[in-house]
Amino acid sequence: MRLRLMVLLILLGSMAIVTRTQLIPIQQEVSSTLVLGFLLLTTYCFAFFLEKVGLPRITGFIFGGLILGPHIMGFFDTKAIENLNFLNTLALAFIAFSAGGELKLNNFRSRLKIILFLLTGVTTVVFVGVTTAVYLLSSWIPFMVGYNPMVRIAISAIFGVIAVARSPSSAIAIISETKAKGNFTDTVLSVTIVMDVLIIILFGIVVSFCQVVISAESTLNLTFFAGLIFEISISFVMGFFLGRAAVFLIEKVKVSFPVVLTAIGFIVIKFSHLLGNYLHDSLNIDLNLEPLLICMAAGFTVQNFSRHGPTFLLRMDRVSFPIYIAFFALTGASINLDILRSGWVLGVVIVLVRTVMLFLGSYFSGRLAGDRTLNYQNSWLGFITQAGVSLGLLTEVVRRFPEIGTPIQTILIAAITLNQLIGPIAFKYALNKVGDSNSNSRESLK
Amino acid sequence: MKLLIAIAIIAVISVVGANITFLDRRLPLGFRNILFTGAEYIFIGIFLGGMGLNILDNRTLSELQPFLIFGLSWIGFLYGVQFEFRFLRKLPRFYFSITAVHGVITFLLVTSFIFLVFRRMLGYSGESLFIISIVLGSAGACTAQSAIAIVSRNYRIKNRGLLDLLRYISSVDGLFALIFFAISLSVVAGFRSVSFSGTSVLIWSGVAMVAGLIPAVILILLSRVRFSQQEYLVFLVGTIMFTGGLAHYLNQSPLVSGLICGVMVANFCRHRLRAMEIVVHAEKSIYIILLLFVGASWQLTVDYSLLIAPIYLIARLIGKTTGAWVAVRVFKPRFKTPHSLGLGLISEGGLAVAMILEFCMFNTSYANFLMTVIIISILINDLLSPRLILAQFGESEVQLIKKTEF
Repeated sequence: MRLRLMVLLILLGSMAIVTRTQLIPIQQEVSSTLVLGFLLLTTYCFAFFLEKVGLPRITGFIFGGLILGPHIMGFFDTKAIENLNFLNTLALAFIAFSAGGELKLNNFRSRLKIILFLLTGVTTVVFVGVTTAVYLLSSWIPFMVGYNPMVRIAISAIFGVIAVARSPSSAIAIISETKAKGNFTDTVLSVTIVMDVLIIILFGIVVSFCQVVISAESTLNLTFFAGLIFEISISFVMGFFLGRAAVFLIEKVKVSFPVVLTAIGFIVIKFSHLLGNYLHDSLNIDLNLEPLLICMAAGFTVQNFSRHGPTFLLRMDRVSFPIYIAFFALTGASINLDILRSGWVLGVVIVLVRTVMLFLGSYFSGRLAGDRTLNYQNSWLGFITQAGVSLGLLTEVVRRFPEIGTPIQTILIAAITLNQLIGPIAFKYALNKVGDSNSNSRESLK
Repeated sequence: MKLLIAIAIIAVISVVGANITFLDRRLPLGFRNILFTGAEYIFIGIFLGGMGLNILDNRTLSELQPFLIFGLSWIGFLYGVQFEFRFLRKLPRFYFSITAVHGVITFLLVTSFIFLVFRRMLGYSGESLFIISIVLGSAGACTAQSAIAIVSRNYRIKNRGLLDLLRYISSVDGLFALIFFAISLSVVAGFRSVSFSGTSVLIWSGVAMVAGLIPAVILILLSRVRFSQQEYLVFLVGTIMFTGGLAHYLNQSPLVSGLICGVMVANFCRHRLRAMEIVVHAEKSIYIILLLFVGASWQLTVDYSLLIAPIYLIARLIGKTTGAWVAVRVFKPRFKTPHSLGLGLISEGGLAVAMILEFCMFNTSYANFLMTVIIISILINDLLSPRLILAQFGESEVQLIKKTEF
């Protein structure tokens, strides 16, 4: 404990001397290498101290990033974070592969009924609950006041659909940290990951509805849904082939495949975006492959359609820690406190409503499906965290609805930030409570 | 977008390449040595760079600078962590003395030779004259280990003492080269400060030391806590990044700071072997990245740099031969040493590449010229060095182990 405190003080002290004083004449900006090295070591120490008081490590990484970042201590600016943005894409590819790899068909089959009930129940209750709550509050939300009831319903539905999104990355990080194993863990993870796929479809439906309602010229286009299903199917097929390529890498080429796979995942993500933009700009075709789905399907293929599933997960797990630290520390550093300040009141309301709905949805779905009492009483705690997917969907909202997108984004970023801070704590608590957590058996060198 | 594609391509090439290259292939010795040092990645870099596909153009390369800083710091750390004094003390002292004298003389001769040529023939003066000569002098003082490794793998050599000495010199002389390099960078920094004086040089040398010492203290402290394997990876990667980043931010050399950090860790860290194991694991990949950078940032122009390359080669040859000759005359090893021992030490690569690359990162005005010189020098030296090493032992003392040579 004392040694880590010393390390933390040395790191903070040296950074403060170097970046704040004029002892040495330096003209250049803080380089990304320095920021990343500093974040890795410092947020690790933060996380250690928070872990001592029972909080999950990823909360420490996020808080560490937030405190050291541009809005509080200001050791580096937003430009340094922007320069490291590619790391988020790399980490997302890695996390998507891992998420797919965590989905084991055997576990899935044995708990299919509970998973389906939870998916349907929680999605319906959260979507309807949050949409209704925002609609009822719309008279007090300044940017919604001028619209007619139908448009207000459409805008509320956007809030509702984004409330459904979860964070597989945080779930996997918490499970990895606590070494949790068991029915509860499998169920929460499966629901979270499958929801990541469903949210894309649900979001497409809601956005399509909103376009019809908000812009009078648009009409509900059924080919849109066919296109959506086509995109998802193609993504699955591509994911399957990518998974087979990963199996080839594991079997034939003795390379450090987590690195190669992450790089390939990264190319897939970027290629999907490029292809989508190209088809839209040149041929006026809206075909957006879902890169995260491709990576997830690839991980799923390796886990379930080859004999290398355990090796795959083990080797991915070996290099996962620095990736998680960098990803969550940068997430924390990117939290914009100004936005949080301006949208926090509505954000808190949405968080409260969403949390209540998550509880109701998961409690009754689990109970109806015949799950263990302890499980259905606590599973809502595993669904609170929101992160990358929700933020990605928000960007899409801003792109499609420029007039109303920005205020929606401000409010929801505040809500997502709060969920990101409390979600990991809640999930870790739930894992401990149901007895799936195994965090005391940490492997140690000494 | 180009940057992101470049990152992905570099990652795949470096990881896959680390597993399929640096092998002892069935080729004539010189070419075998070139492939063994991974020099082909310079050509892949050229292909990806401005003279080829233009994926790694100048802008992308400058955006990739954080990777370069990390790679240089990693190489410096790897080099430093091998210097465990407890272990080095067990070897005969004259090994070290010969290496030191050979390194110093080579550095001085190459630097002076280049200095004179540039001053008299090309009319250079002032800071640029000083910088070019001292940087080429430092790079020239390094010896790559690859050629000696190739020879010792394929030939049974009777004079083990001489072979061990060559191995020792090629492993350790980089330390002296890096010290000269560090001093020269401090002098350059001193030149650029408001008033150049001995004090400003000392201050900059101190800053370089601090940039390596602080991260070393951090890693040493972290090594004393309870940690898992994954945590140690974070400590190590974080420390090396912090070292490189801090050094770069302070206008110092990530390579030198990495070296200082590595030496400290080798001698004061409880888990130095674990650290070494991790850094060695990624060494090849990182070296490939550096070679790709060298190739990509090289713009071949037909100018005087093509003439300087042979001059540098000759200067280095003279430096190495004289340095080794003087050293063995002064310290007299207990085994037979040839007069032209220095010819067995001309293989170049690794650290020399890292030094030039790093220098070019800070000083773009000389980048292309220095790249041209060093690339030509590496290729020619690597091609010739295995034969020259064999010549040091004489035909009667060398026996081919496998029929691998054509």
